[in-house]
Parts: sequence; structure tokens; C-alpha cells
Amino acid sequence: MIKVKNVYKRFGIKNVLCGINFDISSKEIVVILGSSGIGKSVLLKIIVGLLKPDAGTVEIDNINITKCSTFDLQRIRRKIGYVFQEAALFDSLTVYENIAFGLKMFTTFTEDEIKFRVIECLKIVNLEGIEHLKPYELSGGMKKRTALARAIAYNPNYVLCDEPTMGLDIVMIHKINKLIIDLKKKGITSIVVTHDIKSAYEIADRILLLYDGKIIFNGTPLAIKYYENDYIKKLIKYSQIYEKYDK
Amino acid sequence: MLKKIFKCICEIVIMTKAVIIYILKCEVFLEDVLVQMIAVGWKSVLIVFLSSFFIGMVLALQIGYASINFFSEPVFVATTLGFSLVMELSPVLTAIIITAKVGATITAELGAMKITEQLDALYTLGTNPIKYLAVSRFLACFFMLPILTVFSNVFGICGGMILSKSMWKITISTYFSEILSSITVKTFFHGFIKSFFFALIVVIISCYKGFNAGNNTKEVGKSTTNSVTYSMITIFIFDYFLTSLLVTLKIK
Ligand SMILES: Nc1ncnc2c1ncn2[C@@H]1O[C@H](COP(=O)(O)OP(=O)(O)OP(=O)(O)O)[C@@H](O)[C@H]1O
Ligand SMILES: [Mg+2]
Repeated sequence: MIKVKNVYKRFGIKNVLCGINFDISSKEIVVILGSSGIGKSVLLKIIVGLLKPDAGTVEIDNINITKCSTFDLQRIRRKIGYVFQEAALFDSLTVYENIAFGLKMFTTFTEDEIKFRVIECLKIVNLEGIEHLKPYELSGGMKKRTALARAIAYNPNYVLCDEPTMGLDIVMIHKINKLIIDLKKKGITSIVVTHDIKSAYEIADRILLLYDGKIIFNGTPLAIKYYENDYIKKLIKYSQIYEKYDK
Repeated sequence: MLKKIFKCICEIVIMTKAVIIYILKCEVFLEDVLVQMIAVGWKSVLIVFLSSFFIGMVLALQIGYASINFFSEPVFVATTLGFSLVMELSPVLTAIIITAKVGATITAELGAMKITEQLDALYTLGTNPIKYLAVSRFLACFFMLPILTVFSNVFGICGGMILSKSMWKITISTYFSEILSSITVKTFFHGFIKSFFFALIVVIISCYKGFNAGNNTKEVGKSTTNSVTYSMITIFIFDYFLTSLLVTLKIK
């Protein structure tokens, strides 16, 4: 259960978030939409505790992460997998070591168990056989999938993805979407930031629309069709996902 | 300005305290410490060798000429060379080499990790930059710099020996007996103790500058240069105060 209450964040004179409120219950896939530079990544970082909000609180499993002890924060982080927008792989480590990193930090797995899990995660994101490569040897999409594998490796309860499908081809996008849905079946809650409304439609239980520092829409994918907003109208018009319904 | 310096010092104290706590709690990644020690030691040993060797030769040459001016023959070459190397030149020289070679690398590396969000990634994966990155670098520098200083003593003395033998015709046995009489346990520790402090100065400043590099490549470059300059200045300033302190404590 994630509760975001009245979160404000500004950088210099720029107000990025002005009073964000929403709840996310478990086993839900929530997609955050919003135009570029509106503050989606900032919101996600606040939820995971990488940025401190100027005001407001974020509660994860009833622990207020904006002011809790490092011990509690560590326990919460164990439950969260985070995929950075730019992947943020450790570039001095191999793909294997990157994915094993969280396992070594959070679990008491033996070397064999870690190896098994790393291979398994790489298979999930369709990257078998690249464990010895360094991040600079990977393409953008491969980096992104490695980051996803790293985030899900230690079986977190929540997965926060900042544009997990950015830079991937349509087949791969579909595969990642399916992966997120599979995670939900295993009881994992996901928050996904995306620009791809087709993906949003495919995976979301709920869509949040971030606009001008506020959540102006919070509802199901079908309901968003009838929502009066220029940005959404354009998104839908250009990607035409409702074509098949209109026929 | 003063406020900024005060803030810097506070942050440095907090960082150092955190590092020490992790070390005391034994939350150390031993493998990384080893990797860092090799990076610090192995990669600098050649430069330390070359610089110390030539400094030793230059010293022997200078002292020889100076004593010819006064006494019309080269006397006290080994004695003067011995204690000036061991007490002062080797520790400072080695610290400067480590600053340029290791300190700059640390700042640039940590700074680059910061702008690519790798430091943030450490937090999300259950550790933090101080625990995972700073601790191993602290330990590596703290132990390797004194060791390199001892090497530098040896290399410098060897350089001086070769020059004394070829130029001033001082026999190897005379040279070494003079060296051994000039370097006591206390003179040795005078330099050795200083090198531990220099190691701390280099690693604290370079880690701090790395973690607090700005958010773009230009800032990382600037931080790296600053880290080297500040380390060097701090080393020279501390050198004066440490020397005074050690002399007062009769470690000389
Ligand atoms: N560290 C920072 N310092 C100053 N301003 C920042 C910082 N991080 C983000 N911003 C500002 O906050 C705003 C929101 O940034 P954010 O990265 O959250 O956008 P986004 O919605 O994720 O965009 P995109 O979809 O392009 O990734 C941007 O306008 C940016 O200028
Ligand atoms: Mg973003």
C-alpha cells in the first residue's frame, strides 16, 4: 500500500509538484502519464525516497518514508525495485554483477542461488547469454532490460519503472508489458511511467494523469477516453488506440 | 563565503564520521578494498620509484656541491640526504603523487557515477555510496600511502647511493653506515606518521569532491581539478603543523 499525501516539490523558482495525492493498493498496476518534463520522474524518486519532498508525506506499508530511521528505510527499500529512466547500471560491473547486486545486499542467497536467479531474470527479459558483458557493450534497449532484471531480481513487492519500454521495438514492448502483468499475478504492485498510451492501455488497472503539478485524472483506462483534456485528446488522437472500439 | 566553508567542513566531518562508523562496525566490502589497494599501490609504484630515485640523485648532487663549497670535499652527503628524505621529502612527494593519480581518479569516478545516477541506484539497491564506495577507498589509501612512502624512502636512498658512488666516490658501505646512523626509529616514524595523515587528507577531499560534483560533465572536470588543488594545499598546510607537533613531541 502506497499513500502519497499532499506532496510538493520545487526546484529553484520552478514548482514541479503542487499537492499530489493518491493511493495505490497492492497488486495493482498504476500507470502515470504526463507530457515530458512535467515531473513524473521526480514523483517516482520522491516515492522511493531519493528526493525529499518540500512538503507532504509518502507512506509505504504504513511507514512514512519522508522521515523514518535508516533501518526502516532499508527495510522499505528491500520491498521496492526501481528502474531508472537512464538505466543507471553500474558501469564498472558486468551485467551479471549488476543483477546480482541487489541479491547480495538484500538476501542471504548462496553463490549458486544467486547465479540461478540472475540467469532466470535475464531469461525473463530475453537477454540470455550476456552476463559477462559490461554496460557500455549494450544497446540502449538492452540496458533498459538489464535494469529491469536488476530491479525484479530480489523479488520486491513493488516495482517502480521509469519508462521501462523506452527505446524498445514494438515486439519487445509487448513482452515487457506482459512481464509487468505477470508480476502482478505474482502479487507485485507496479507503478509505471510511460509515454506510450498503448502500453498504458494494455497494462494499467488505473491511470494517473500528471498535469501542471497535480494529478488531474485518476481512473481506469476506459474512463480516460471521456476525460476532457487537451493533452489526453492529442495522445489518443495520435496513437488511435480506440480505433477498434469506434468501428 | 565563510558560511560555505563552514558548511563544507560540516559535510566532510559527517562523511568521515559515517565512514569510520562503517569501518568500526566491520561493514566493509573486503574484495573492493583489495581491488582499490591494488589500484592505489600497483598503479603508483612505478611513478613513486622514478620520482624518488631521481629526487635521491638530485639531493646527493646538491648536497655534494654545497659541502664542497663549504668544506672543499663532499661530506655529510648520506646523512643529510637520509633524514631530509625520510622525514620530509618522501612523505610529501608520495602524497602529491597519490593526489594527482589516485585522488583525481576517485573524484572523477564518483562524480561520473553521480551524474549517471549510479549513486542513486546504490540507495535503491540497499546500500549507500559512503558504505559501498568511500569505505574501500579510505582503507586502501590509508594503508597504501604509508607503504608507498616506505618504498619511496628506499628508492630515494638507492638513487642517492648510485650518485654518491659514481660522482663523489663514496663507497657503498660508508654510505649505508652514514645513512643508518642518521636515520633513527624516531626519524623514520616522523615521516611515516605524517603519511597516514596525508592519506586521510587526499581520500577525504577526493571522495567529498566526487560526491558533491555538480550535475554535468563540466562540473565533474572542475571538481577533479579542485580536488587535486585543495588536497595539495591542505597537505602542505598540515605538513607544517604536523611537523611542529611531532617535533614538540620529540619524534624527530
Ligand atoms: N535536479 C533537478 N534540478 C533542477 N530541476 C530539476 C531537477 N530534476 C528535475 N528538474 C525539473 O523538474 C521537471 C520535471 O522533471 P522530470 O524529470 O520529473 O520530468 P519527466 O516528467 O520525467 O519528463 P520525461 O518524460 O521527459 O522524463 C523538469 O522540468 C526539470 O526541469
Ligand atoms: Mg522522466
